[in-house]
Amino acid sequence: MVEFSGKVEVINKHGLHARPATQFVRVANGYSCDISVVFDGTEVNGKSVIEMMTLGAECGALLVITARGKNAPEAVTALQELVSSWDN
Amino acid sequence: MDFAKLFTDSRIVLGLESLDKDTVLANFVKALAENEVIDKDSVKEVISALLKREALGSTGIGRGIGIPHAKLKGLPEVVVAIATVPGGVDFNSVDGEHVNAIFLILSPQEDADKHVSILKWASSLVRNGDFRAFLQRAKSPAEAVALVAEMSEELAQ
Repeated sequence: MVEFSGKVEVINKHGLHARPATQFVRVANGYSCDISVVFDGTEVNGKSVIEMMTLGAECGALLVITARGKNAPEAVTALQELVSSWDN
Repeated sequence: MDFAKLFTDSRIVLGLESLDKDTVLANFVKALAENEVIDKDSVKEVISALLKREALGSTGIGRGIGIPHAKLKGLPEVVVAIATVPGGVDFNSVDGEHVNAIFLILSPQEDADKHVSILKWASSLVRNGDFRAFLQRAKSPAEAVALVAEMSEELAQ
């Protein structure tokens, strides 16, 4: 199975609050591969808004996104681009 | 900060009637004003701020949970309150499920920095299936307050 990981920094002022977490999950759910996110030693399911918010990732947090399965590299790239685009 | 300490009986509203989303949120806010958690004069402003935020994208985060929230000018401190809607309400949630528990968060505009840590605490509680089930079974606000305190303590360990 294809596994692909990438890092991305949360650069928006208010961090991983509800709206960005929801956007992340909507993009993640567009892919059939499994997606996990690690921050500060905690790994969560990247397709669950609740789990994403348990990370408490503030501005400056470095997330590691890992996708396993079909289109894994594309999924990671799309999510990295999304996180980098947040501005609030 | 220990967010569980923000909870008192007056911040728990059990058994809201199952109506449309806007009405349920309005009824929740009115109940909080009735309980003197928020100023009666601010009811309209609070409801409008919450609905404005919902218009940007639903706060239905899945598993039957909604977390409507807003920043308000001049609010003395963070207000966190929980309501249950036993019959469920269509929140246009991310997973399509109806919401039967609402975590409401009101933050002072001047002090929005705590927001992500409040979300972390609230989402850590609601990711737990036992918490969600026990909350629905709570027979009194006091029972729900005790549940929040107990689960928060467990999470902190």
